[in-house]
Amino acid sequence: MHSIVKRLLSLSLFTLLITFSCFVLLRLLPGDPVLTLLNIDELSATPEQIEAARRELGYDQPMLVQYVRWLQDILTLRLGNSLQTGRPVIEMLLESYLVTAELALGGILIALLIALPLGIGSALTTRRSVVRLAHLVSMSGAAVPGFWIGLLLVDLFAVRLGWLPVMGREGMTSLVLPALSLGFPLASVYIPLIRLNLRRELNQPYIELARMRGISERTILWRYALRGSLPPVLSVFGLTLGSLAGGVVVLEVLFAYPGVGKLMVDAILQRDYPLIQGYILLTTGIILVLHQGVRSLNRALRPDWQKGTHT
Amino acid sequence: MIQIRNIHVRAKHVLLHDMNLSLPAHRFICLVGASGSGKTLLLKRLLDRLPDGMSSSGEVISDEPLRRGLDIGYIPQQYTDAFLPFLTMRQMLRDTYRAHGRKMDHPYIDDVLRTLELDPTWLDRYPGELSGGQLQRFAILFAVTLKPRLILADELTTALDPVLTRRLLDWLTEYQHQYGATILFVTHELGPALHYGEQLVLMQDGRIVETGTPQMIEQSRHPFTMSLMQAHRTSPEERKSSCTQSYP
Amino acid sequence: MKKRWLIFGGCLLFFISYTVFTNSFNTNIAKRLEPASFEHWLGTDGLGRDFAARLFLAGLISLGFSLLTVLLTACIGTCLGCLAGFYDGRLKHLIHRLEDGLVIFPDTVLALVIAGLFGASPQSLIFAILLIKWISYARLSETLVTETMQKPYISMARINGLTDSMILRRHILPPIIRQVVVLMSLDVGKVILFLSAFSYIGLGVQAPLPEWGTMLNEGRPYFSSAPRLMLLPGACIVLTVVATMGWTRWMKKKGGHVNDSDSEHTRSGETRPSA
Repeated sequence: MHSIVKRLLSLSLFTLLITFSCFVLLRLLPGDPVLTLLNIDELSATPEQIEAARRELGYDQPMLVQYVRWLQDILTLRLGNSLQTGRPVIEMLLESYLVTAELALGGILIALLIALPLGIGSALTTRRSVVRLAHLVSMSGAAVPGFWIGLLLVDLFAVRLGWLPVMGREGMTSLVLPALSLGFPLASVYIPLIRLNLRRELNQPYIELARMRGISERTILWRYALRGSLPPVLSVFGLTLGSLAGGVVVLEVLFAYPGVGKLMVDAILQRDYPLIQGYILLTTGIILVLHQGVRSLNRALRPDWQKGTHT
Repeated sequence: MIQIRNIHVRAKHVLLHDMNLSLPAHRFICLVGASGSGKTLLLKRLLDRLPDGMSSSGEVISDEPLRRGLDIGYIPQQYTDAFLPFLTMRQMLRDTYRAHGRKMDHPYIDDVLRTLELDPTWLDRYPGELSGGQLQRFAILFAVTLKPRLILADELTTALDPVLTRRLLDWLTEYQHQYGATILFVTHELGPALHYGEQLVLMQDGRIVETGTPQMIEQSRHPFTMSLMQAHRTSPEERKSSCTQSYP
Repeated sequence: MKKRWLIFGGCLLFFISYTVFTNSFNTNIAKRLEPASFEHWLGTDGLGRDFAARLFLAGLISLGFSLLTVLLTACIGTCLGCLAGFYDGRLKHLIHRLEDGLVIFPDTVLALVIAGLFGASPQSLIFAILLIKWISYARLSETLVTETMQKPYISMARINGLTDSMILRRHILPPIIRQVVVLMSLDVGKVILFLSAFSYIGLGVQAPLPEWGTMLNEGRPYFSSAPRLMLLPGACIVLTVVATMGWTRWMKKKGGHVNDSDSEHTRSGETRPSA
């Protein structure tokens, strides 16, 4: 119980710190914040209009008051409206997060389809051809830029052959090419990770001794070795999820897939500060939650790690 | 009755030379030899778990099947790493039963726990929470839990205190008598072998040098056996007293 | 062995002179999309610029960028790590807090955020990469320092009267530098990938400077008519990254076993993909 309280406390402190730095950073940007927020320059508005806007946005109040009001807004998820579309930031962000989640899941699925057989297979076989294949796939995925694969795939399957849509998001077929471009480089990280950890686990003395008790090879692999090798893999997976949570930037731009990455790229180019700010806050929150989820999962896999005397 | 016939094991060199040995039922057999003499390798061959890269010829003949866990129980030397760290002892025990399609024999388990002086609540602990002595005794429980007729005990005596060791060996003798089992007790110490063994098998460099009852071994004229006996007779007490005698 | 270096050096010199003497920026719409010719060895791109020169200049820029970034990150990270390992107390705690705070942020997210706040430019990218990657160097060096400090020859050195700085220089730094250099070589490839990805979407190296990622973007409309415009920059990226991987492997062999962050320190963020 005590540790949960401590964790919540440190988490909230951390969030507070981030929000405060966000707040300060935005105020530190060059130029008058009001003008920036309204995306106008001094010529196109009268001084009275500017003053009215300043009062309305609360910029005439002292800093601390501004911060508190800002914090209130944040906590109730009133993140303002986008400068580009005028729609509430929170709406736009949530919409695009769902899209990104879709893409991310597709990519993860492909990555698993590639990495699991190759990772587990190369850990178990003695045939060098399998190991070399796994290594080759892993190296190619790591060296080849994901977006280049995307470009080539699009130009082959969409433009030339017309089998799949070129861009946009209309149904399952639009997901195929982006997911492939995402999944392949992703798999390259996991193949050696799975292989290494599984082999290390299979070499542990207790695996051999389980065999001596007559435990079947199937049980040994699926219930013992895999479970033991999972925690490091999951930790990396948590980092992967966090990275994906921020948006699969390049691929979304390439395929014009309306996820968070694409949203942000446009926001940056257009200097849509409310949107940028909302993104920072929301994404940080999501990443923290994801990391915590992974940590809890790892603890469920290894209940012995909680019990003190673990060496 | 289990017969070991012409077992020959080699990797880059020959590790076990033409081993011939009978393991009759209801017998406490001690395999004695220094480290590297091939004792553990013989055990592994019996369990059909030779390390990769080793080839073997010869056969192990038995009138009944020799299944790991069910017919052969193995008590490892390194009991600290013998158990899966993320499972409780109970879960591992259950897995052992399930692997052979049996249900857990609770009365028997409780009985063994009691005799080994293990608290039943420890079954719900993780290996990391148990001490070395507890783990050693649990290793014995796991080996005998399916009542195998051949028990392989690998260097049981090395890492524990003499009192516990005594108790465990007494317990093994009881098991032997109760279930008519064959105990193959591997050690490099002649002392416990002479005391508990009904038949001793002395090994050196992958060969059986001599075999016989404790009395026969004590009176043997074989050079290797005699040197072992010599080392054994010079007990620590004698060594200490001889030291004090030299310095007046 | 020597001959290989000579050939390599010769090619390098040749390409450099080609780039220097050919202008990568003169647009000439009349001569756009020309195939390979004597004047333009790989033809021209969509705006009539010499393709080969742009390709090679982009390579120089990519390498320069990543070497600079990696060097900077390695220096700062290693310094902080050594400090954390050497001196116990508040400094160590501060550095750990920083690490824990920043390790959460994925690379793409942070790059976006910084680009969003400070504008899209190579400098923002360098800053973002710095903020993330320093942690792996810091943790590596801290672990190494702590391990080495426990070794008996350190206390012997102290007894013999060596000052702290001498101990640092002679006993602690050499093994650290070896492993840090291996990590650096791995990172160079990753940074190149990162840079090209962000340049592709317009948030990295800005036009008219050539960069392989940007060139991929530029070459996209011409895939049917002039596929080399899209294939060659990509191939260059792949080849360069593979070369850095080979270099890493060679260095690992020379330097011996490395405390690889891929296997142990799963929190160092090294194994995150940059999409």
